[in-house]
Amino acid sequence: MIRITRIAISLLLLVQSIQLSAEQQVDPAGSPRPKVVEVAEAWVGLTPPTMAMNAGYFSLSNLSDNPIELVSVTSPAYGSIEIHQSQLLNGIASMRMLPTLTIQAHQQVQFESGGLHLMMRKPIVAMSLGDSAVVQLHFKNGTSVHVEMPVLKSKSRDSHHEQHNHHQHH
Amino acid sequence: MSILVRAFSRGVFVSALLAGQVMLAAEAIAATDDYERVKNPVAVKPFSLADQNGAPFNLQSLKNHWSMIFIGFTTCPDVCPVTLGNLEAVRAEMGLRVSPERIPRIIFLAVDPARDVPVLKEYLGYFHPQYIGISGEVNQIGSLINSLNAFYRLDKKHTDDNDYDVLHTAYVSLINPAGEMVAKLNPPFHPHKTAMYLSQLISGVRFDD
Ligand SMILES: [Cu+2]
Repeated sequence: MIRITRIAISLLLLVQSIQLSAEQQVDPAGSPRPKVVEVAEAWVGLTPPTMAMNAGYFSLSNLSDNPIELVSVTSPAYGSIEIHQSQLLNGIASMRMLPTLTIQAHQQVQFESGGLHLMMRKPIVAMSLGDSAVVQLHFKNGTSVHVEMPVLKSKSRDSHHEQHNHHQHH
Repeated sequence: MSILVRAFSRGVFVSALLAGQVMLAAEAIAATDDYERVKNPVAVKPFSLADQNGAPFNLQSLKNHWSMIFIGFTTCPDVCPVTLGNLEAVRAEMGLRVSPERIPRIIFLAVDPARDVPVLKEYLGYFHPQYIGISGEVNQIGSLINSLNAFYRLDKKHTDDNDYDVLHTAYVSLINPAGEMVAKLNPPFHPHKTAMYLSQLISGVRFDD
């Protein structure tokens, strides 16, 4: 009986999250528009609690005929989030902050270890395995996208169960 | 067997990442050879640091072991966890090729002591408790960095910047049991290739003392 109730609740949550996903892209006036951005394989790297920061990854696809520009990323779970790029210049490793990121029409940009990542600082509570960070991606054209990013130890170790979208594990 | 498979797949993953990164950063220099033997090995000069448990770690501590020294810092969420994971995969694969006492230890040289020393033990314990983490006085860190022919800089934008990045030499230094730097390993530290290179290099060297 308890089990049946749990399944029912999970189904309910799943339906809600699908609805949320369908509604997630609204223009400033609030009217629906064709989907412009697709986010897939979102995850956050597990770090020791004392580190007080995480790196976030996903792939971002621009489904539209025009370039789109990611201008900011916010989350109630973090004090600050920046778009970062790890780089190797003349044998020196460093990170740089990108003020914005443009994705050309029908192109995909991959955030991944050693390259582009979200630099997520000052988590309100330390993130552990099983948690998900909810973030909002804000684009210059007014579109904003809601993404759930589960905390994983490392993507390469988890690549057996590929995530095709951010709702699959919920 | 599963370790091997994991090491392989992760190596491929990281190589693919590096290729992507080089293309993205237009100003990036084309990757050089992954491994460089130091032609005339130079003895590491004396230094005095401490490990993550507070025990002294100095030149003597490098003797009678092979070591891989990786320069990093604990507030590095993107590259450092991947590198430490790759080096661990290198050690796992070397276990099939050389005797345990010849497998290099992983030494994480934390160059940002103000932020690193308070959390070093927990940071390393999180990834792998066998790692040795060393840090200490700025001038002592500088001395070891010089011996490794390396570089680092705390990239503070202003005096009370607490979110600064740390620029550092990306290569891992291979130290022989006499305390000499004998090779540089460059990213992406492909586990299988690196294990093959190190196994060959280390098998060809005898230390009878
Ligand atoms: Cu970063």
